[in-house]
Formats: sequence, C-alpha cells, structure tokens
Amino acid sequence: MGKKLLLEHDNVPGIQGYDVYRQMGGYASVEKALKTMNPNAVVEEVKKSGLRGRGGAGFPTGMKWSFLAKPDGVPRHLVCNADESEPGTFKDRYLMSRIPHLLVEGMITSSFALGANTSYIYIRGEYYYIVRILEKAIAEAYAHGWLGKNILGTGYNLDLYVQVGGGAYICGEETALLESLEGKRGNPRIKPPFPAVKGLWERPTVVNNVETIAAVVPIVNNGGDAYAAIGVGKSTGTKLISASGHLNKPGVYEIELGLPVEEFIYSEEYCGGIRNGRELKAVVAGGSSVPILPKHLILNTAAGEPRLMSYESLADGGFVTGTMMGSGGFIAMDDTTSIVKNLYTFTRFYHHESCGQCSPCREGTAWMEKVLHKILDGHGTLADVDLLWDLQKNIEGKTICPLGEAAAWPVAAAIRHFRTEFEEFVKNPTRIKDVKHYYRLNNLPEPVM
Amino acid sequence: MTHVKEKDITARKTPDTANTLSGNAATDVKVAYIDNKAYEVKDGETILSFIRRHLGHDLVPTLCDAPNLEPFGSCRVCSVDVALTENGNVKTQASCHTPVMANSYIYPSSERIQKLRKNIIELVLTDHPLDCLTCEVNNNCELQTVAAKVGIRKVRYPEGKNHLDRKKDMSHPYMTSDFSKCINCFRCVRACDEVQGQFVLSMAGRGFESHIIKSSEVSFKESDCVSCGACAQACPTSAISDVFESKSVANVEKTRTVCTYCGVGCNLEVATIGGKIKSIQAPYDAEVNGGHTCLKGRYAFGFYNHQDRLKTPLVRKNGELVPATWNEAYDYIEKELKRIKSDFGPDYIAGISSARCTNEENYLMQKFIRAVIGTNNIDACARVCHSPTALGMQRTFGTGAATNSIIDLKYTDCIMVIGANPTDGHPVTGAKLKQFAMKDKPSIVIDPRRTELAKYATVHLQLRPGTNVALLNMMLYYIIKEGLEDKQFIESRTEGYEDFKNEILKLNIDEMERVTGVNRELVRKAAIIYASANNAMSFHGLGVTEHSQGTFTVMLIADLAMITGNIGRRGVGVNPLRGQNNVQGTADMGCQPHQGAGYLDVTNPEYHKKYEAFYHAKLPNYAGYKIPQMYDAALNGKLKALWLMGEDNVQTDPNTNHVRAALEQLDLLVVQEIFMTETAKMAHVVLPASSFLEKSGTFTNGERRIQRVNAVVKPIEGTKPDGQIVADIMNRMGYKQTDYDPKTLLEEISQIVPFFAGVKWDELGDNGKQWPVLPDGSDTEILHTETFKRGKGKFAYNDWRESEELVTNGREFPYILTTNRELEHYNAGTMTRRTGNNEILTEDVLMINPEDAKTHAIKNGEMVCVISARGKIDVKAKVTDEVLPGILSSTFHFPEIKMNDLTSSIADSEALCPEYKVVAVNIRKSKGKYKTGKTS
Repeated sequence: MGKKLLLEHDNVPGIQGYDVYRQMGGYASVEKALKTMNPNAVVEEVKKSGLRGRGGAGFPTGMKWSFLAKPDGVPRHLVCNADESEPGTFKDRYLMSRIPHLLVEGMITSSFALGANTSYIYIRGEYYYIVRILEKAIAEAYAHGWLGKNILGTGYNLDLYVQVGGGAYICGEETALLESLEGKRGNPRIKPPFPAVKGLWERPTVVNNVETIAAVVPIVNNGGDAYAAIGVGKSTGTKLISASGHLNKPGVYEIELGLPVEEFIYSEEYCGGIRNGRELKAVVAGGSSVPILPKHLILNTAAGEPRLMSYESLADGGFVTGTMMGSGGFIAMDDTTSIVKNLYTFTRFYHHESCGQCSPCREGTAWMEKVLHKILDGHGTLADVDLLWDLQKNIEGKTICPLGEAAAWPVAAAIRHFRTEFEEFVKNPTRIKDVKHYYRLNNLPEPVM
Repeated sequence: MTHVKEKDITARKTPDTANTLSGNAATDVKVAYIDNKAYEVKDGETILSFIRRHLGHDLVPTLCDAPNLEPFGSCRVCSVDVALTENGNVKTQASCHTPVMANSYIYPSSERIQKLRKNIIELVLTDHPLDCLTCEVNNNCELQTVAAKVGIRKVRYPEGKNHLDRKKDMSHPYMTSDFSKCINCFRCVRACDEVQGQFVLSMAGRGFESHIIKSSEVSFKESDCVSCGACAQACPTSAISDVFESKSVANVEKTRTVCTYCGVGCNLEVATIGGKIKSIQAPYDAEVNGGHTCLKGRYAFGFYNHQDRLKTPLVRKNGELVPATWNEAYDYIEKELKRIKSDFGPDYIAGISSARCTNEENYLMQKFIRAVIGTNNIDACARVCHSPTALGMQRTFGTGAATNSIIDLKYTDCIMVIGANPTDGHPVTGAKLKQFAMKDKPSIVIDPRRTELAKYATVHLQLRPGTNVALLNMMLYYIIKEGLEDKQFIESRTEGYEDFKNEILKLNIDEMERVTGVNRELVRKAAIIYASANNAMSFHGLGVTEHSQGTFTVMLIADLAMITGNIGRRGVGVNPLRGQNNVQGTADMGCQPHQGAGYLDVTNPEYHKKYEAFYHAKLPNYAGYKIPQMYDAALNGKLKALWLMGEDNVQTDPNTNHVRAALEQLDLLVVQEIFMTETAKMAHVVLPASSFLEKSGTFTNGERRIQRVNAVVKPIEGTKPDGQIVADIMNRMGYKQTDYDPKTLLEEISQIVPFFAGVKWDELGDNGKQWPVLPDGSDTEILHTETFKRGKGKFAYNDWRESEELVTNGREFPYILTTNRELEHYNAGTMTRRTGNNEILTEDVLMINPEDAKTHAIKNGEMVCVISARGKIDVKAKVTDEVLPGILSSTFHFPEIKMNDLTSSIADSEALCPEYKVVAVNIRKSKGKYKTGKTS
C-alpha cells in the first residue's frame, strides 16, 4: 500500500467540515509556519522537498517561488489555478470537493511563505458546486481565525477569494487566467514579463495548481526531507492520478511517484486491469494533450525497461517513444478504440478552446479538425495525412501559449504510432461511411463512436 | 547600418583600447548574431527591432506589428529561429516581443522559418476573399505584400467553413468595416485601446469564431466610437477603413501639412487625386501625433470645397452685399480707409487678426495695421481665449508660452489638468492624458464638470465656476502647511516668496471651502499628490482663462509649479492647451495692441525705434485697443473702420447684442472669410479667402513648435490666401510689400522676432522646430532650464474675488451657466458643420443636474428656456450628473441657439479676456412654439 499524503483522510466522514478536518490534524502547517518559521524557511522546505508543479509542466515549485520579485511597497499575490479542464483530468475536482480545507490550509501556508496578503482561487466555471464547498470552508477558516487580520496573533493578514471562471480551457494557462481574473477576455499574455515579475494587476504573482498547493501542507508538517524521501529521483512525493477510460476501476488515485505503469493499470490496489478482460491498445498518460503511446511503449520504454509513473520515466525516449507526466490524466484505451476517431474528438476540443489570438493556433486547430473530419467522412487522401503532420509541426512551439502545443502533440503522436490506421481510412473511402462495418470486414475491433 | 565585424570586436578587447576607457567599457559591448554575423545589441530591444536596425525593415515580415502599438505577437509571421550556439539547436521565437539575448544566434530566414511563415499565410488566406484586384487597398495591403514575400502560390487546404459572408458596415458617416477581410491581427483593437483609449473595438468569440465587434456587437454608428480613425489606419487590410478609402494608393499624390483645428498641431498626410483632396492620414513619424489624429483632423476636411465657399468679393451697395471684382472691392476699401484715416486719424481704424491663419499672414496683418495704417489697434482672437495665459506667465516667468513639450508626458509622474477638457478640445493630447490617468498614475483634475478625464483621475476637485483662485490658494496653503515646498528652488530661482507665503497662510480656509464647494481634505490630498511627485506637469485651458480672474489664476498655476520646483526640466512645467492651431503664433507675430512682433513693448522707446526702422514707417508709441475696447470705441464713435481676418465675432464673442450694436456703428467693416458668417453678413466688403489646405506658411502649436503648412491643392477659384489679400491692400495703401510668400516673410520675421532668429523655411523639416530657435538653427524643448526669461520667477499673491456677474445678477439669476466644447465640432462650427461631423453631433444641449431638472419638471430631451440679464434662449436639456446641482453647461457650436446672447461683457481684469465661463441665469421649461425645439 503506497503512502498517502493528500488523500489520507478522504474517507473520514465529515472531513469536508472544519471540525473533523481540524481533529485529523488540519491547519497544523499554518500553526507551524506562522508561529515557528519565517517565510524564507517555508520556501526552503519546499525547495528541499523537490515538489514539482502538479498542473502539467512539472516545474520545481521551490524554484518558482524563489523567482518571485519582491520590490518594496508592491503587494504580491498567490493565485491557485483550479481551472482544471484538461480532458481526462479530474483530480483537483476530487480533492477540492472531498477535502476543501486542505486547499485552504495550503493557500494560507503558501501565501505566508510568499508574503502575499491577498490570494485567489481561480476555479473552473463548471465547478460551480465546488465554489460553494470552498466558500463554506473559507468562511469556516475566517470564523476560526485562520484567515483575516492578525492570524494566530502573529500580525500576518490574509484574505482569500474564490473567483469563478467563465468556462474557457485557455484560462488554465496562467497568464490567460490572470487576464480573466482581472476581468478581461482570457487571452494569454506575451512573455516576458513573467507573472513572477508582473502578474496580477502588474504585481509579482505566483500561480500554482491546486494539488501543488495542497502538497505544501505535508511538506511543512513533516519537513521537506521527509517528502523528498518518497518517490524516485527527481520525482519526489506522491501524485494524484485521474484514471479513466476502459479500466475496471477508474477514479482518482494517490500514488507514490515511481510506481510501475503496469502495476498501476493491472493491480487490484489501483485500476484493476482493462474492462471486460480486453486487450490494452493505447494510453494517454497525462491528460489529452500529451502524446498517446501504444501498449508496448507505455508498459516498457524503448530500451525495454519497465516504465514508471514518474516525470523522467514517462518522458524517456522523448516524443519519439515516450510521453509526459502532464497533469496525471491517465486515459486507457482498449482494443475497441479507433485512434482516428479519438484524435478527432481531441482535435475538436482544441479547436473549440483555441482563444483565437495567434494565427497558427486559431487557423491551425480549425484546419486540423476539418481535415480529420474529411478523413472520417470518407473523403480523405494520403496527402491529407501528410498535411495533418505538416500542420501540427507548424503549430508546435510557434504560438503565444502552450495551447498550440497541446493541440499539436496528440496529432503528431497519433500519426507517429498509428499511421496505418489513418491509411486504412483514406485507402478505403467508399466503405468508410459505415465505419463499424468497415472495421468488422477488416477484422479490426469495432470502434467506439 | 552598423554592422560590427567580428574582427572589430576582438580589436576592442585588446589592452590598448581597454586602457583608454574607464572601467571595462570595452567588454560591455553586447552582440548577438544574425546568420552567424555579429551585430551590436542595445539594452532591452526586441529581436525584431534588433534585426530591423541592422538589416532593414523588410528582412522579417510582420502582420500584427504596427509602428505605434505595443508588441502583441499574434500573427507569428515574425518568428525566427534562435540558438544558443552557432548552428546549434534552435527554438522558434516571435521576434516582435522576445527580447534579444546577448550572444544568441538568430536565423531570421531559415528554411524551417520560411516554411512556417508560408503555412501561416496559407492558413490565413483560406479565410480571406481573394478579390485583390477590386479591393480598396490593392497594392497597399500588408497581407498581400507578406503573401507575395513568402511566396504563396497555392493554398493546400480544401474549401471549408469560412467567414467570407460577413456583412459590411456602412452605417457611419466616416468609418466602414468589412470583416470578411479581417485577419484577426488585433491591430484595430489595440489602436482603440492603446492609442485612443476608447475601448470600442474588441474581440468576441473564440478560436476560429473570433471576430471583431464594436461596443456590444453594434454598428459603428451605434457604438461609442469617437471616429478618430486610428483603427482604420492600423488595419493591415481593408477590414476597417473609412468612406474616403484613405488606404487606397491608386493614383494618389501625398502632401504633408499641419491640421488647422486645435493647438495640438497634428501633422497630416493629405492624399489628392487630380488636384482634389481624397483622404487624410496621420504620418507615423510625426513627433506631435505619431500616427494619430482625431476625426476633425482626419475626416473633417469636406468644408474646403463645399458649395457654400465664398468665391467672389462682395461689396455692399444700397444695403445689399453684391458680387464685385477684386479691383472694385479694393477700390472701395482703399477709398474708405484713406478717408477715415485723413478725416479722423489712424486710431479710428482697427484690425483683428486670426489664430486660424499662418504666422506669415498674422505678421503681415499687424504690419499692415501698424506700419501702413499707423495705429496699434491690432488684436486677435487670442484675446477671447488665452490672453490671460500669455500675460500671467509673462508676469511670473517672463515668457507667455508652454514651458515644456507634450513628449514630456512620457517622463512625468503626475498630471494636473485645470479647466480643460482635452479629450474633446485637444483630442490627441487628450488621449495621451487619458492613457496616463487610466493607468492609475497620479492625476488631478480641477473642473466644474465631471469630464471624461475626471472620471479616471486620482482626485477630481469639482469646484464652483469662478472660484479657481480660491481653490489654487487652498492648494498652496496645504503645500506650505505640509512643508512640501522645494526650498532650494524657491531660494535660488524665485523672488517675493516670503510675502507670498505670509499672505497664503492668512487664508480663511473655512471661507474658501464654502465658496469653492470642495472638501478641504480633498484639496489637501491633491496638494500633497502634486507637491510630492518627482515631476509634475500642469495643463490648463479656457476654464482657467475665460474668467474675471483669469490672469491671476494663471499666475497661481505658475506659482504652484515654482513652489514645488516643477520648472525647467523634463516632465514638469506649466502647459497651456492652446485652443486654436496658431494662437501661439498670432501673439508671437505681434497681433496684440501693446506688444509688437516678438513681444517687444511698443511703448518702450528703444523698441519703438527698432520697429520704426525695421518697417520704414512712423509708428505710434502708445498701446492700441483690445477687442472689447474696440466695441466700446465703436459705440462711442471713436472707431470707424474694422478689418477682420477670418473671425466670426458676432457668433463667438460674448454678449452678441452688444457686438452687433458696435459693428453697426462702423463706416467700414471688412471681413476676410471662407464662408458667409453672421459677421460677414454685416460687412461692407467681404473678401473670399483660401483655406489652410490651399496655402502655405507656418503654424506654431501649443508647445511652441513652428511647423510647415504646405499647400495641398490650388486655391479654390476666386479666392486668395489671406496673406495675399493683406499684401494687396498694403500696396494699394502705398506701402511696398512683396507678394505673400512664406519663405521670404519668414526671413523677414527671423530678423525682428528674437526667438525666430534661426528659423528658415527650408530647414524646418517635417516636424518643425520649437522656439526659441537660435541663430545656428538649434531649437528648444524646455524653457527656463537655468534662469527665467525675467531673471527670477516672481511670486505674487492675489485674493479671490466673486465675479461681478454673480454679485450683480446672482440673486435674480441663481444658476451658473458655463460653456464647454464637444469633440465633433470646432468653435462656431463654420467648418465642422459643413462636414460629416454634423451627422454625428447634431445640436447643442444644455447639461443639467437631475436634481435641478426635477425641481423644474424638465425631462431629458425637453426644451429649456435659459434667461440671463442680457437675453434668453431655448435649448434642449441633457439631464446628467456631469454637472453639480446649480450648475449648467452648454456648447456654442450651433450659433442658431444664440448662446452668446446670454454671456456678459465682463472680462478678465488684466487681459480683458471675456468671462464666458460664469453666467448668472435662470431656467424654466420652454413655452409655446419653443417647446418643440424646431427653432434650431
């Protein structure tokens, strides 16, 4: 049984409320930090812990915190990115709805470390019911003196606000999030300047994911070294994985980093294998934007080593044979899945969510969807597959924000690993109208449409 | 081209060179490489500006980049490859917003990059109509240029959903849009935000459905657009344009000139086809306006060939003005002038010059009155606007002109705007001030109205009209009380401070608080903001000058600058927002009864002799009449002839009935005009003049910048430039004067006006020069850097006094009417009402506070009768909280309303500038036939 740091008490009845949370040792990190540590000492513990951003990029949190500019007389802000909207990712939702006080506690301890007196939780619009849960938790924290003026008599003040997003995926990108938080259209900003220098209201700002901020609680409670002792190499601590797809036991799991992928999929402790005893076909390991890998490459690296659930192991082989940890949105697909159809679904999402600010993404995501639609509709040619490849290459790394990359990578990986499936589609255009029939004729597993 | 060879760099590192430089300056030269060649890097520049600085503008194509906008990075066409080592691993970066990194290797046109650019343009073209040949911007389209450059031959994408069926918007008198041609570059949105600050345009929808909207998805006409045209000029295609198709380059010739409306002095680039004006744009390299201008400058030029233009001289015969030849008209004038001069003497003749005319014309006009007629009875319309500014600043500093330049807004930390509404009156400067205030920088607005700028200001002191002196004295009181004076500046640069301070400290603050109606704590806050800013700039307008204590107010503004040491460097100073295009020049040229060309006192024997020698004429050594004195003299039979150059005094001077009565007494009234104005209708002779678009010369803007006005088209047939008319009549009167020619006249002016010493027609260049211009041709951005013109700056205390108008009439007429301007129109609207502006703003309205409206049961849009001691008028009510209870405000762009029937003859005690801003009135609902408002 792996160690649990975040979800240790998630099954305790009443843990959503303040009293039970407090009985389970809640808010100890605030007491410890405010009463016995100075802000820099907290930052040092986070650095020691090796904690990496849990939103997707995996940037070392302690380092991000130490980049925060501290000009005299200018307020600083901590903003929690709760705009969880990557397809296949739902861990923050689980955490916030089950143990809201963990996030509130993490926000207080982290804000103290950063010297922020006003902090925000920017939450996805569709999570409206969680807004109520969070606001209740915040009200309880205020009522018990964990928020507001002169917290614990230490002279430290903090106000915490929840801001609801308008339902745009782009607002999960930190600078678009800040624009939206300021009340503007959620378009990403050009960088530099980075938020650490000019963020919210042009003030130094740290934007962290929900899970990252929650992880600060055990780090402060137990010390950075204890946290770093869990995991493997530079992938320290535990990680929440949103497991979905054709698994027997989909759900949110807290794993110790370094767990073998095979164990995660097949062991009874975690996902319990593929549903209906079917064969695993492919996995998208870190949310819809990371490259899809076929079974043989997700279970083992190209070199034949068992692949582990860690930042390094998942990325082993680069994009040619590897993928990314991402946000931990683990989507398993069995052999009934049509990769072309699945890619179309993903592409449609990115087309819908592109903000339209820069041309490669605005036009490119629209055209990737159109070309895939054409292929699915039975009008595709081999040249269209090459066109898709060309298109994604001209989006990747050429846009203002990472949404372009997020849209390009799935296309690249699908063609890279499943090109034959695309070719099957375009080579048999007449029969493609009835895709299921076509699949049966070719002795292929039936696609999920 | 400053290509640094690699060899040169190593050479700089040799000990020899290093020894001669202090420190290790030699190693401070930073370089980066373009295609493996080293070039010097400037701190903070972007990759794009780095490449363009060294290898020219065209190496890297761009679409979303524009010269007057912040980098945005949306088109990605400017992407380049960047590596950390020579031919190392590259990363693609948008060059327009990425800072250049020292020692990086930039590959602006690698194969990969070329392919990327091609792909982007190809994608953009899939949603763009390919009708270039019939498109307005053919051959001047940035998309077309970039597409040609990256070599698009074929679009690989199949036909799909597109936006080619978007409807055109032709609703507006000027602005047009055709968003089927939009490439989503955001340039229009950014121009609206960053240049004008209006926030009308924005992007709606996401991704492929992104589209530009105006306000809340309405047409241009219905939107909050102020028609500045910045978006149209910024648009790289024809998605936003104007009815003049100003981006079309088919057969056009372009002439650069200067706008004739306000004192900002925008440079204009006027396109003509076959001798007719087609459209106007704002040149990006103009120092004054940098690619921006307002709807008056850009679009309101249609008056120039309007059918109403006067095209033949008119002479009054048997009470009727009838067409005459130039000779007949001149004969008449010559005979009459000679008769009056011999029968009554030269002082029975007077001239009023015009701030709308060129320096050279103004110079000629005063020369005509002084040297040919032999009187100092010469004044100009500056009398009714900024004469107190000139006088007040002369008394305090020694020079009556703006101390600093508009560019100083980039360097200042605080702005204070007093009695000015620049977003309407001086739109380009107004936009800059608004941008400043909107960014939450310290800004103070002192104005009875909640102007657009006041809405963004840190502090708005909404005082009762006529209490400027009281309020500024309060500010000075708090600056002294808080110990925020700049003691060193006061000690070394000023005089009279101790007495001044003692007087200020004696102020009765309770009384001042009561009369101004402004909370003392708010005044204290403003005083602290202004006094504690490192650099604070003040701006003022007619809300300061058009009062009975106008000159004193100007002196207090100057005192505020001195007491805080805000004089003589970047980002500070006293900066009057001059009303008319050349109001500065009119005074500079000597169109004042007490000072000749170059502000020399005509009563000073030394200067008197100098002028006599220069003009080869006998001149009087006493001052002449100011404009209001001319009317009084006419009514008393002391003035028989009046010559007006381009001014409509009947409609624009206060107390119309008084002005009319005076003009009716004259034996000879000559009016030079471009249209038949109310004043021209009363004239004995009307002479048709040419507009600014038809003549050359110079205008001096509000920051002392002498700029070249270049004739764009030939004079409309039958008209002559004002200067030529004056020159003609000078010759008729026996004075040998050469024809109107700006170059020779400027040469003459440079010999008599000291601060024009180095001004030469051929050396003014595109952006002109700011006076004083030294004999070597160098000019001056900032005045009083070392000493004041008068030596030491002089503090002078003046007590607040209630306006005579309110003392006399306040009981019977309990409301205070003040006057203001609207963006769309210029003064009496003689020009703007003969353009499309008239479709945008159609009438004058009276602003009235909801409380007062309720008291009188007046609803928004109903007619109100406004009554003063002089007369009554009916005007439409606009119920708004822009004015406080008890205060009313109106424009006088539509003279049919006869607003000046209400205004009084009371004037500034020092400069005789009329008090337009305080009129005691009463109001009631209009009755009978006036209820409908059809009278206007």
